[in-house]
Amino acid sequence: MTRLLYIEWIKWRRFRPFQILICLYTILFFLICFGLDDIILDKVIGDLTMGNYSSSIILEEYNPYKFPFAWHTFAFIGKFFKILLAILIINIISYEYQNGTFKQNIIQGLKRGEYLFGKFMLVFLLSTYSTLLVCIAAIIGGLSYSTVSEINFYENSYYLFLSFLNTFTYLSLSVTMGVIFRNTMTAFVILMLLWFPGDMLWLFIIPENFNMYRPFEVIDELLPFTVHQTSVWKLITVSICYQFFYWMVSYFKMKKDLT
Amino acid sequence: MKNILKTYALHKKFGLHSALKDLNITIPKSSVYAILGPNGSGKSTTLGILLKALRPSSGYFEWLDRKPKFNYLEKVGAMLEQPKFYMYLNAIDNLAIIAKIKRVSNNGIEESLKKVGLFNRRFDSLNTYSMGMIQRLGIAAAIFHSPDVLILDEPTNGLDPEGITDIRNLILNLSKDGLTIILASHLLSEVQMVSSHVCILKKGSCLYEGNISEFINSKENIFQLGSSNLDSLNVALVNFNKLNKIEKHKSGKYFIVHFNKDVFPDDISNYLAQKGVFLNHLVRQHSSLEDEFIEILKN
Repeated sequence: MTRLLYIEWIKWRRFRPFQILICLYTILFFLICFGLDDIILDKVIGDLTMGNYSSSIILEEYNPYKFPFAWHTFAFIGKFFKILLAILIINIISYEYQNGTFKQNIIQGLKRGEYLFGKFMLVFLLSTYSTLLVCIAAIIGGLSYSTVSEINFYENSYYLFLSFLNTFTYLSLSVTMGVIFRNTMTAFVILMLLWFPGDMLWLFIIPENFNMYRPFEVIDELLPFTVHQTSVWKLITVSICYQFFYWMVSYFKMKKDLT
Repeated sequence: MKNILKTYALHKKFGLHSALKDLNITIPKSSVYAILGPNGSGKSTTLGILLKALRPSSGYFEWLDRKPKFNYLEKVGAMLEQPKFYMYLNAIDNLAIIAKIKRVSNNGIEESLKKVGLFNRRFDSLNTYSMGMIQRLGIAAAIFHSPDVLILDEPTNGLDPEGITDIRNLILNLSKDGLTIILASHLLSEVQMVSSHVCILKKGSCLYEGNISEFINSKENIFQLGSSNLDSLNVALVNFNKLNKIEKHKSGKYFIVHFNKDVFPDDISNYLAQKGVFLNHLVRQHSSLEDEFIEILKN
């Protein structure tokens, strides 16, 4: 396992798109989180100030940058940036196909399963990294906005896990797209089309009860804007099923001849 | 454990086209085995199957006399077509990846880079390498982990004359160490100099398989003979009892004479001297594999 991880590390540490996208991801995320916090707060308050509450009370009680809301808030912001990681993953898979290094790896004795497991670990690490960023942002935001007496650190921290699942499911699908189309542009455009309008088209086919479990909807619902509309456990189970399905498709697609 | 590889009716279809038809070959241990054939004859397909990049449509093969369930590729050094590397990495990193894949240490890397003459460029990104240098790196990648078997597809492709000689010597040296080398090529002259066994492929079928010396020396000895007086040379030669065939070379300056297998240059010069004919040109012409090859392909 460390062997496969080490292989991925040597392969990508000097890969320009890897360096650029990871930096971009990190910088943009923190920039949006803490550069635009005033705008975000205004927006949230605007959405919530509908009853008789005055905005100052809401800011006091429900400030999204305070614990325990901070976990949810930053996970929610973070989920929009996973597209950058998806581009990176698709780029990596396409590079290995188009440059012939995937075939070369197989010839040199790497099993196809090992190769895919390497990519699995890469996706796992990238998802962990994105979760880590969310965690750091939440801690910074939470600590700076909450007063010491009201800090309830662990409540809602399961949003970190949901954030991980959100990114991981999405990146698993990106790997499958890369394996099927073997070209960054094609794979990315198809991924986007599957998202919109693809995810809408399901509505015509599946019964209404299952709307929540459409491929992209379930990823999205893991981190909703307000509160979960279905049981979180159901969402988690379904998204893990999707992950399993994506990796199986990639595996069988990889079994094919390499000419 | 006499054989490295034995194939049983290997068959490979690409769509409707059969790239390989019931191939049965046996590659003995410590041989230099050449797979010869024109373009599209199935050489690369064969190697692709051995290297697990392709799956045979039917048939199977045995590696070291058993079904290759184990990961034998870790002990195989291979270079298929144009070798492929991570172009933004340097030579050391690229070989380090291969070392990890094959579960060996990085110890052989510098040594092998010295062998192929890339040691001084080892920290440069491959983007700055020429095509021939990539090819050399491909060779280094195939040998640095001291494999038991070396599989090379057109190893001299894109190399300069010096590089070609280097590769040839490398193959000869490695085969002296007992390495089994499987070589695919359409450059017959190349193969003739290094290999011990040969298999000739045409349109996916094996036309000939066997020892290369038997193959070449099966028939006769051929000499180029010239003299200042060609007519008297001709008359004298016609009377030589072990002569098979005599023909004038296109240039008109000498004859190409086919003798029985047991005729040697000293026999000829001795005989001609007795007849009062003196040679100014005597060259032994190996019945080249190329001729045999073309002959076989024609039938």
